[in-house]
Amino acid sequence: MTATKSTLIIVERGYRGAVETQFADVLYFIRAIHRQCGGADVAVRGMAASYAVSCDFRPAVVIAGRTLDTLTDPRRLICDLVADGVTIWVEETDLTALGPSARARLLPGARCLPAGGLVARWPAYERVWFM
Amino acid sequence: MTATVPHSDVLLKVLGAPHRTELITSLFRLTEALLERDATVQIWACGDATGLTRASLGMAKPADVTDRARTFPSTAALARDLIRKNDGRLRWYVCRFCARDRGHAEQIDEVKTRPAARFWEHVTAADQMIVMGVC
Repeated sequence: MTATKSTLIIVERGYRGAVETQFADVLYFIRAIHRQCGGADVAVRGMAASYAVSCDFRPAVVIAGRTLDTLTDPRRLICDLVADGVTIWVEETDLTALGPSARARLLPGARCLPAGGLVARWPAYERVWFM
Repeated sequence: MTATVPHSDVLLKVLGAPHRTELITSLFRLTEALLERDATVQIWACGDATGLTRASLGMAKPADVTDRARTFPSTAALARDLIRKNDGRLRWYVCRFCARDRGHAEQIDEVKTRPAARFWEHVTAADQMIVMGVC
């Protein structure tokens, strides 16, 4: 066995709701899987690659006079995953698609791979899940 | 037949499931913006959108499973607050057929369930109608 972690979880769909999203967010679920399976890694692709790029925007919306600032904040959740020991993979092509400054704003703990680098790592995992 | 649906400036007919797109956030933001401009609004929720106001959601959730002291209002709480705050200018209707079909028969008190066969009364009671999403 060459795998140091058993599971690679790939997240591609970036937008998963805001106002209607409760605490059962996909990244919370991944955090729970990481704890249960002995270690998982996460690859963010497509628009979900933006989860691993820092920005100043903090999601909030006002409804019925109430400011909702508890909307899903994937960047904070990615930092939580990194703190738990999860490796976050992003391919360079996905970062490039997000703009010229995206690479420089990669969150600490997120690791950039060349194009095709992710697929090359699949055999190192016992399972690859898309979530 | 006498009209049973009060007139409104805008009818927002919302279909489609939460979580997939920005649909539900757009619904709330559009409703808020219309009410701010003194419009009268009715919402007709069909399909999985009937779940936005189901009673079983409760009024609050933990904002984070690791921090249960912070709470997050459910969509039922947001709908309730919008309806109460706007003093009759927002009416929220739920398709009874869809609500039962999706297991959402128990709704919060602030919304009204209506038979699907009465839907056209709501169309004719509104000056403008916007259809949001698909079933």
